[in-house]
Amino acid sequence: MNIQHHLQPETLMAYAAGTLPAAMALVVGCHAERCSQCRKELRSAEALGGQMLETVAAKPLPEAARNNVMALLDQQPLPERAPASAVASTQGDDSFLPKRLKSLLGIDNYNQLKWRKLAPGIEKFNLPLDEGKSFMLRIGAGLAMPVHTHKGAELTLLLQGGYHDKLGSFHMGDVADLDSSVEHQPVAFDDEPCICLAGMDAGLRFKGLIPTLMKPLTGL
Amino acid sequence: MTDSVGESVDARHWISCMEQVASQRDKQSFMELFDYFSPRVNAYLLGMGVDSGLAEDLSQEALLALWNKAHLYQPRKAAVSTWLFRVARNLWIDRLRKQRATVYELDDEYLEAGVGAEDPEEDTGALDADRIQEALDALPRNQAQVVFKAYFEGKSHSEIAADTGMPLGSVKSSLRLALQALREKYGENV
Repeated sequence: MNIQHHLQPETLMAYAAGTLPAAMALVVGCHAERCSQCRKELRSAEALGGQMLETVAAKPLPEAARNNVMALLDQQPLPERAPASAVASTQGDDSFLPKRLKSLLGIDNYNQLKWRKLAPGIEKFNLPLDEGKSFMLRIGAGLAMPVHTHKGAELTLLLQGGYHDKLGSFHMGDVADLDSSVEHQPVAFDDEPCICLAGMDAGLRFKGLIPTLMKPLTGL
Repeated sequence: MTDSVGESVDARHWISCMEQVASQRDKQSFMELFDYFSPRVNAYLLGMGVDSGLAEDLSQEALLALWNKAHLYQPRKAAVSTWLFRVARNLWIDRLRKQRATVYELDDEYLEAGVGAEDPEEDTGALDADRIQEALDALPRNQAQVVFKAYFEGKSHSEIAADTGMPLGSVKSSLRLALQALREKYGENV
């Protein structure tokens, strides 16, 4: 698959540093499953962490800790081969179900989720993560989301179908990595429903009166 | 420290220690790794806000993981320091940021199962440590500080902006420049 929209380098660095809230780390991990370019960037970001480990001012452990570890060496189990992974991601022509979502939600396809209706043709599923906001949206073919900006950063990964907004066309596997300055209104492609996974560090902020009134209803 | 071909002797030394641990269960090589890396892992964890008792425990655990998983280490993919950075980070996440653990556990699984193994683009093990260091040393002081806060104080980008008084956009561009500097050095070696 040809991925057109990638994660920003600083987002991958925050992931490498371990500092993204779970909701956003999940989107990064899922995108990286499918995107070798971002995996490559991520490996470099981790190499930067490794290099810093070389140069940080050392803080030695007490002698007792050293003796303790030495004594434990003989009690360690014999090394095992790398376990073959039980779960694999599903990467079909028309849908992408990352291994991380399978493992977190225990599903084999997106119809198994308990989708909650937000508006005609628009459904939402909240993921069980409370560090940041994590949810999926299923948007009917050709339908539009309300115009919104974000209080903080927002990551959106396309899992099925796609949408377009003023930033371009987003297809399966693409990710939109946006900060709070971006105001946009995604519209799903005409030919099929769009499913996406969003992760943010704060809520959405809708523009104008009607979306503001909708906010308590949609729970976004 | 470099030899005549300009490769870091230290980085290669740690790789050979890992090989000794993997193939011979060689305790002397392990203790060399322990003595060099455990104070660094400990410093990392303390910087991430872990209290000293737990940092001591987790540092021991990280180094024991190295003993137990040395046979899964692939020198071509990552330097020993990078591998250990990842182990220490994942221990921190597992104990102190539990919600993120599912996401990162699968990263380990990928690396151990060799995802990206055939893709030389994902190799960072051949990075020349001295030259990366050169790139980092060349960063302006405020940029270097941003990178340190992001990686070794566990700060989010907006926290770094608040800490330093820099605009969020400058925090992000500092991080990008640091990664770019590293990648350029990397490019010279390929």
